Amino acid sequence: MTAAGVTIGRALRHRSFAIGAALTLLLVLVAALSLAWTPHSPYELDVPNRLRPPQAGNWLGTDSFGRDVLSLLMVGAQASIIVGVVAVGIGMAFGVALGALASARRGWAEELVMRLSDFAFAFPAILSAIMLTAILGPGMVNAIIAIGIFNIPVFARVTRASANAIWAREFVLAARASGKGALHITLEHVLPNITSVIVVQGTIQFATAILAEAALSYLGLGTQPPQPSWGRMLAEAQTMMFTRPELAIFPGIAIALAVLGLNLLGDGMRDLLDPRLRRSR
Amino acid sequence: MSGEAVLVAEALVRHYTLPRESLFRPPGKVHALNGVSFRIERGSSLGIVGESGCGKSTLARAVMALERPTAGRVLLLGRDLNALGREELRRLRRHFQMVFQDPYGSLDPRHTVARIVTEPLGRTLDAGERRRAAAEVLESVGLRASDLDKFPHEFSGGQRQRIAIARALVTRPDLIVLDEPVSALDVSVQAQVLNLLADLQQRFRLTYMMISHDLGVIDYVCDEVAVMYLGRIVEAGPCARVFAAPAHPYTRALLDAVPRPVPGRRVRQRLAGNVATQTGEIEGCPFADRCPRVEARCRIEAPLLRPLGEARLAACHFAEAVRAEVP
Repeated sequence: MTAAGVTIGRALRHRSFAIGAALTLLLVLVAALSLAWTPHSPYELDVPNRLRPPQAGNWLGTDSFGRDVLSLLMVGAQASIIVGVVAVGIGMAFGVALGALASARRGWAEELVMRLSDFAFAFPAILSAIMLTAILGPGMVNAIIAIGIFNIPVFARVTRASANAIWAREFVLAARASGKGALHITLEHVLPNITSVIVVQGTIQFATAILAEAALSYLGLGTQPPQPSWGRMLAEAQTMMFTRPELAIFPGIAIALAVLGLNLLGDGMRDLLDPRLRRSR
Repeated sequence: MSGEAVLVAEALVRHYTLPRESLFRPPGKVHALNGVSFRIERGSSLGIVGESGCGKSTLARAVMALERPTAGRVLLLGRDLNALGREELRRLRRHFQMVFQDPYGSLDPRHTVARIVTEPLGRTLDAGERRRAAAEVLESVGLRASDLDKFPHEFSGGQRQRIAIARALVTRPDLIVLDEPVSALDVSVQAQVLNLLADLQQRFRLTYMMISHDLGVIDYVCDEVAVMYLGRIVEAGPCARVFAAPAHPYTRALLDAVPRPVPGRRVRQRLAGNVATQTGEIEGCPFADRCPRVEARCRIEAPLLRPLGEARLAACHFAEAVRAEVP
C-alpha cells in the first residue's frame, strides 16, 4: 500500500477522527450545496404555509414566515463556516505570531504579550464580543472581527506555552550551536513541533466561534436578516417554544452537531499528528 | 606543548544569579565555573571529568558560545568567541561542533535525517551538494545513505547518537565538544560509539573535548584529562599518568569508586559528604570538607593549580605525597 493509503487507513480506524471528519465534511458539503441548490428559497416568504409540520415538500416544516426550515439550515451553515474560518484565521495569524515572539524573545516582550492576554481573558469572551459589536455596530463582519480578536489571546497563550517547552529541548540548543538565529529556530524547529497543538486548538476555537456567532445572532448583533443564521433561527423560534418546539430543536441540533464534529476532529487530529505514532515509509 | 592550540580557555568564570528569595537580601549566586583554564592542541583530546554539578556542562556551553562567561576568554583558533560580532561568530561556528548527551532530545523529531545532518552547513550549499555531503558523512559513521529520508524515531539510541556525530562532522570541524556522548546509551552500544569516535579522530585528525563522569570512557578516548571539582580544575595531565598515580585526593577517590571486574582486596578511599554546588566564596581548599588528608593549612590557604613535572598539574598542598602513595 502507498504511504498515503496507510495514513488514510489509520485515520479512518480512529473513531473520533472518523466521526468528527464525517460531521465536519457534512457541514462543509451542506454549505457548498446550498450555494447551488436548496429545496426552496430561504428568502421566499410564504405566509399561508407558515408553521407547517415536517412533511413532504417541506421535510423539516416551515417557520413563522413560511420559509422552508431545511433551506434555512443549509444556507445558515454558510454563515457558521465563514465566521468560523475568518475568526479563527484572524486569531491564529496574530495569536501564533505573538505567542511565538513572546517565547523566542522572553523578557519584556513575553510580559507584554501575556499581560495583554490576561487583560483580554479577564472579560468573558462572549461579553467582550457583545461589547465590541455594540461599539462597531451589529452585522456579520463586525461579529467576525469581534470573535477573531478574542481568539488572539487564546492562540497566543497556547503557542507560547508549547513553544516554551520546545525552546527548552536539546535540539534547539543544537540548532543554536550551528548558528541558527531565533527567527529560523522558530520557523524550522518550534512551529513545526507545535503545529498539532495549534491545529487542535484551531478546531476547538472553530467550534466556539460557531457558538459565538449563534449567540451574537440570537441577540441580534450578528448575521442580519434576511441572511439566514442558526442563531437567529433559535431567537425567532423562542416565542413558539411550546407550540412548535421543532423550530428551535432543528437549528439546535445543527449547532450541536457542528460543534461536536469539530471537537471530535480536533481530538482525533491530536492523536494522528503525533510523530511518534507516524508510520515509517 | 608545541602544537597548534585549537581551543584555549583562559580563567573562565560563570556565576548564575539565583531568583531573589527576600527583597532585603541580595540574590544568591551559584559559582558554576571558578577560573578554568586549559588548552587543547590539534589532533589531541581532552577529557573533563567530575561529579554532576561540578560545572562540566556549563563549561561545554561556554566553549560552544551558547553562554557568555562572567569573566575569562574562550579562544578558538586564536579568536575570542565573545569578542566576535554575531555574523562573524556564525561563520566561525562551522569550525566547532557539539554532540549532546541525549540522542533522544538532540534530534528534532520532525526533521528527516538529511535535514538534521546538514543543519550546521547553513545556507552554503545547494540541495544536491547538501545531500551528497549528508550521504557521505552518514557512511563515515556507519549508517547508510538510504537512511537520509527517515525520521529519528526510526532509529535506536546508538544509531541516533551516530546521526548526532554525523551532524557534528558534516562541516569538517576542527573541534568537537562531546557532552557525555555515551552516558545515555546501553553499555553494549557505548563501546561501538566510543570506537567510532576514536576511529573518526584518527581519520579526520579531529580535536575532541569530551565531558564525562565515566573515567573509563575518558581513558579510552582521551590523551589528557582534567578533573573538575566545584567549578575548578583540581588536577590535569596525560590520562595514563594521572590514572596510574593520581596527585589529588579527589582524583584518587574518583578512581577508587570505579567498579572493577576482578574483585580483590583493595584499600578503598571513601568520600564523606556530598558534592555541594558552590553558592558563596570559599576560604581555603574547596575540597577540604571532604578530603581524607585535610590539615589545618588547607582550611586557610587555597592550593593553586601548580605543575608537578611530567606535564601534570594538581591543586593540592600534598600533591607529591598523594602521587607517591601506592594505589
